[in-house]
Amino acid sequence: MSTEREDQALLSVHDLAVSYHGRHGAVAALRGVSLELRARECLGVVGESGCGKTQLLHAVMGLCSGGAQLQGSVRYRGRELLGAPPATLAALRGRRLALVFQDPLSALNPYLRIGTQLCEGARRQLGLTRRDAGRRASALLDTVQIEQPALRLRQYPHELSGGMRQRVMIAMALMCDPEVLLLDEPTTALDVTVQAQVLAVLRELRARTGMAMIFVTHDLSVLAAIADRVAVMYAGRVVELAPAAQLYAAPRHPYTAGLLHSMPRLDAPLYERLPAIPGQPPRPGDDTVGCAFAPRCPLVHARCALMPALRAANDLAVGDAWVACHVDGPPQRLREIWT
Amino acid sequence: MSAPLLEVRDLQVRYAGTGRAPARTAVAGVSFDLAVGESLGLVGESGSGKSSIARALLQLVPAQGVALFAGLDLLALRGAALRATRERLQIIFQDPLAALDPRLRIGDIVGEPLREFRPQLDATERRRQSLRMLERVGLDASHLDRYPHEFSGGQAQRIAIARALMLGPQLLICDEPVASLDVSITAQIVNLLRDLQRELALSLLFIAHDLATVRQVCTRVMVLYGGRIMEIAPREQLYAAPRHPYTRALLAAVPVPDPGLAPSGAPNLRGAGDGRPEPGGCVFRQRCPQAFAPCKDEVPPLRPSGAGLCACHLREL
Repeated sequence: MSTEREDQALLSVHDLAVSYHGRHGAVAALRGVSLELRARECLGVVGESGCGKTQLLHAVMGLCSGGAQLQGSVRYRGRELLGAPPATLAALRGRRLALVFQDPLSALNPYLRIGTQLCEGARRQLGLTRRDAGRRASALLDTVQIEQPALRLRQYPHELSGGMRQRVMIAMALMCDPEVLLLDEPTTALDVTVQAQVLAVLRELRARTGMAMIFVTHDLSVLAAIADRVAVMYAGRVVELAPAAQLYAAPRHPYTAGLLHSMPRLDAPLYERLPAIPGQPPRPGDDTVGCAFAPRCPLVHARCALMPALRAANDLAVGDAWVACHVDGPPQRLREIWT
Repeated sequence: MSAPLLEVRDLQVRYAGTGRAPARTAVAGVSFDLAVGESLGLVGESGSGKSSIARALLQLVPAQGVALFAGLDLLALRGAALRATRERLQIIFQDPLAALDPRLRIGDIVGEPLREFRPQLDATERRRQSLRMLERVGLDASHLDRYPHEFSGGQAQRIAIARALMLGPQLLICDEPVASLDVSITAQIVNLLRDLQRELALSLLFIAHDLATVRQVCTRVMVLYGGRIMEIAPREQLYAAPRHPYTRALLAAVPVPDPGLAPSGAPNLRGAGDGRPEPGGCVFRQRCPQAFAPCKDEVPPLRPSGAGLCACHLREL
C-alpha cells in the first residue's frame, strides 16, 4: 500500500461492520466496508434500501443509535473516530465533517427561525458573534442561490418550499467551512428541475472550493452528474468501486450492470421490456452465505457460495477499479446477460 | 375510431383554505380523452395537479366539470351507480404497504372485491380466483395466508395490482406506482403493468414525475404545470421534439446515467419556483426563459401543434 495515498485520504474506512440487536438476534447493517475519501474528490455511494449506505454515513459521523455494535476503523486524517470520546467527535462534527440529511423538514426545527438554526453551529464551533454568524449565513444562502436571504433568515421552515429547505440544509452544513461534506440522498425528495438546481449548486461549490464529498443515493443517474468515483453497495458490502467514467461505461459487477440496464433512461432506445433484475434485494436481517447477490445473478456459479473479496479488477493496469465477484466477466459479457 | 373510454371536460379541483392557509386551485380546467386500451402519462412536478386529477375521477376530492366514463359522469354519480363504477375503474397508489390492511391476509385482501361485488361466489371459489390473479402478477399460493408486513414494497405493489384487477376493470389509474420502489424492482413493476395493459386491453392513466419511466409505459403524455395542461402529445413527438418550454426544461433536467452526458449547469428556468404565482396570463410565465409580453395578459389556449396540443403563445410566432 502506498503511503502517498494514505496521506491523500481525508477519511479512510477500514473493514467497518455495524450491527444491531433485533428480536431474532443480531442484524448486520454493514458487513465489512473499506473505502477512502481523497482530498477534493466526490465519492458517490449507491445502493438500494437496506444496503447500508446511510449506516455508513452515520457510522462516520458517530450517529449510530445506542444499541449499535461497531467494529473496524474510521479514520479522519489518521485519527481514529470509532470509540473516540464524545467531546472529540463533537468538535469534529459540523466543523470538519458536516452531514446533510435526506429529509430537511424533519431535520429542521419547526419552532426556530431559519437564521437561528443556520447560526447555531457556527457560533458554538467558531465562536462567531451573532452579527458575524448572520452575515455568514446570509452569504451562504446566496451561495446556494436562495433569493432574498435576509427575508429567508427571519422565516420558519414551513414557509419555505422543499427545494429551498434542502438548499438551507446545504448552507447550514457549510457554515463552519467543513473539509468533508456528507450528503444523504440530498435530492431524492425534490422535483426533477429542483434536483438539477441543487446538483448545479454542489458542482459549483466543488469547482470553487474543492470541498471533498461523499454523496449517497439510490440513483445512479444522479451520481453521473457529480461523482469522481462510485462505490456500489449491496447487502452491507461494497461490491464495486471504480472511477465514474469507467463504472458507467464498463461495469464489472453483474449487479452494477443490471442496475444500469434495468433503469428506464432517456438516452437509450426504447426497449419493449426493461431488462429487470429478478428477485428482491435482501433485508438487513436476512442471513447471507457467500455472495449476497448470487440468488439474483445470471452468472451464478458454484464458487459464489464463498464470499468474494473486493479485489482489483483483473485486466486493468491502473488499479483503481475494484470488484467483489468470482466471475468478473468482461464488460461485454455483462452487457449481454442483461439484454 | 371508437368513442373514448374517458372524456374529461374542464375539470377543476379547488381545495378550501384552512386557518391561515388560503384556498388553492389544484386543477384549473383540464380536458382530455382516453381511448380504450390506451396508456396516457400524466407528468409534472409537485403542485402540478396530476394526483388531484386522479383523485377527482374517483370522487376522493370534490371537483367541478364533467368526466364521462362509458357514458356516465364520474363526478356526478352517487350511491349505487357510483359503487357500480368501482368495478370498472380502479387505482393503485405510491405506497402499497399503506394501501393494504395490515390485519388481513393477502388472500382476503385480494379476494375482498369479490366478496363485495360477487356475493354469489363461495369462499373456495374466491380463493381460487385470488390465487389465479396472484399468480398472474408473479406471486404464488405460499403468499395467500401471509400478512402485508411480510412483503417488500415491490411485492406489496404486486398485491395491490392484483386486488385492483380482480373485478376486470377497464381503466386502471396508477398514482406514482414505482416512486417508492427500489431501482431493481421498478423495472419489474413497469414490465408487469405493460404486460397486463396489453393482455387485458386495459386503459391506463399513469401518473409519475419520472419522464423516463413514463416513456417506457405510455404512448401519449400530458405535461401539467400549475393545474393546467402545457402540452399533450404522442410519445414519439413529446420526447423527440418537445414544443412547450416547460416540457423542454423537464426533459433537460432528467439525469442520465452517463458522466459524458451530464448537464453542465442549472436548468434553463427563471427563478427557483419558490415565489407565489401571479394571477392572470400563463401560469408558467414567471419561470419561463422565453416569456414575452402576451404571456402576462392572456392564458394561452391549448392549440394543435404537430400531432399533439400545446398551450404556449410562442407557438404562434
